[in-house]
Amino acid sequence: MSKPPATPSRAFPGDILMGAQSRLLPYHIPMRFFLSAALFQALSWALLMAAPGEVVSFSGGTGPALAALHALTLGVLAMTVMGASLQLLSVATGVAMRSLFPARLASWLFIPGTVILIAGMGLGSYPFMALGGVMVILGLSVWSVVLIDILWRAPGLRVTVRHGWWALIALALLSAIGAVLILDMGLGFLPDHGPDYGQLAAAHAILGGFGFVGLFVMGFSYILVPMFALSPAPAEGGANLALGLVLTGIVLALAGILTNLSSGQHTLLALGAALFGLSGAGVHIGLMLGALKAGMKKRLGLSFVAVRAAWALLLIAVALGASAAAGEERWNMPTLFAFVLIFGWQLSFIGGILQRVLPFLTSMQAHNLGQRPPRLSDMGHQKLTLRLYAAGHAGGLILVAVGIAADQSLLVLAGGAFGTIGALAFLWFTVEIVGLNRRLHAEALINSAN
Amino acid sequence: MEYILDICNKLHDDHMTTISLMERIETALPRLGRKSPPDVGDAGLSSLLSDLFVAMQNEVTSHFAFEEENLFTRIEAMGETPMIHMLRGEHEIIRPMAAELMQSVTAARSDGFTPESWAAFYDLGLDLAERETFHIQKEEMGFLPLLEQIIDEDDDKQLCRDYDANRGG
Repeated sequence: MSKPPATPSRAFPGDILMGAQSRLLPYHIPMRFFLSAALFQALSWALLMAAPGEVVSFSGGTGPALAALHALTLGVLAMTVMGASLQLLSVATGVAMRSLFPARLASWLFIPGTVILIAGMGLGSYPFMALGGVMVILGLSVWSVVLIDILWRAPGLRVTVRHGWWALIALALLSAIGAVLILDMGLGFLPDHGPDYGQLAAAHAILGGFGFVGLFVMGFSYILVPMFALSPAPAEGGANLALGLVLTGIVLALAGILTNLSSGQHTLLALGAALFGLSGAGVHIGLMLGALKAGMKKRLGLSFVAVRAAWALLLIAVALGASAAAGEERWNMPTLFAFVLIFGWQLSFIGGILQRVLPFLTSMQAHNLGQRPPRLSDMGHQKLTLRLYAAGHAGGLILVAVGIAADQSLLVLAGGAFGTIGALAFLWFTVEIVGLNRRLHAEALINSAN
Repeated sequence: MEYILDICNKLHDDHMTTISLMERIETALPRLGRKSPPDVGDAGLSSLLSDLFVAMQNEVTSHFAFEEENLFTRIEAMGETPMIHMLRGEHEIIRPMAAELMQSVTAARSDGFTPESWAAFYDLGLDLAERETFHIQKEEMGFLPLLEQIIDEDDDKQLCRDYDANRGG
């Protein structure tokens, strides 16, 4: 007796490629986030050059270093997560957005809000920080509502959806702490007892770096890496194990930061957090390398050089974080940890993946408009822009990291210049992709009018 | 990657062969450069051209036709017309490119490449490699997994017989 055909249970990674046509958003919605992210990337590297002496031993307070940090975390990382999740999650899960208005509203609040907040941080202006902070939190809240609706209705892709839920929980906590930190800058209301400003700032960083952005990066990787490498999705059990280990690491790190324990207990919690974090990152990277090894496509180009480098930097960042939490102060360890985590792991990963995602989305848009899709490699001057980006980004990372470790502001200045050149090249690449989308859209309108 | 259905494994094997060949093209052509035509008597290039000719012949005459006649219709019957519209559209783009490439290989084997014919072959080869890869990406990640959910064992056996007959096997 033959096995009856199964009822199609939708939502597998290939839905990004196959069922996308009916759920592609208008190109300008995701692209406004990606273009803004490219602009903020250039701004964040440039801000490192504005006060290199402040960067090497940054430990909080307003000024260019705080502005550079948030230009990257909010302007690039959160911005990219917002754009990518709106487009890729609805396509990949097969769940169409009920309305495009909330996505537009989120961008209207978040993008200018980030500009105002960063200006406030750079200038030390409390009213700007307060206004920008309110707009950013409102923008993230509107986006979260859209995402919750998609995650709630998603029929499959359980691993990615599960990471999405935890990332949103981390976002809620880090936003609340961020609001408290901004209010305290203006009002100075934090009590003497309980966690102080520094403890809350550290918790904010862990929730943002490893929680919100980190978990989204892990969750999206389970769709995007197999898709580009043409390999099966990694086993769900392994992905769940990695998630559990990372979440345990985050909880232990927060416990260590927010409680006033003895030095020995504090070190023990930091080491425990690092052990779980490293194990989780190791399992995740192992799954990703396994996917690349099993993939039909072996030549993945410069973008996956960046992705592989980002995975190595993740492991280094966790080790540096443990060292900083255990009290190591040489080599400006807390600052070095934050730099390697955010500019190293997360920015390198997002830069590598966006190099593939932007041409891919453009090709899907062309299909959707009934036009012959351009060759992916024909989109803009990629041979120049992306090579320049890779060189500038790598040079910037190395020079700034060495500058922080050696307490040499001149190296940070030089690294900021390299990074800025690389980021401007990436901006050029993004502008060309957005321009191509505009042309495709205009041509489709003309064709339909004829 | 291994599928449950034999027919998906057969199509997957075709894809593996094509992807591997496309990666050879993407490596070999930039190494040779676009400006001056290479010697078609070179063993490496000669082998690449032969493999390319055979693969394109299979892809155009057999693989595409089998998918269109036996599989796309089933998915369309489920109402997944946008997906099939996209795949058919890509077949229509790739088919003439493959035919032109085969003609170019045939001409080069008898008369060698001129600077103009080599430049045209170079551009066409890289264009085809990218479009084939993107097309296979869609079929491997979306089309074959969907087939696994809608085809039963009896259908699978019949489709394999049809596939082998189509190949003359």
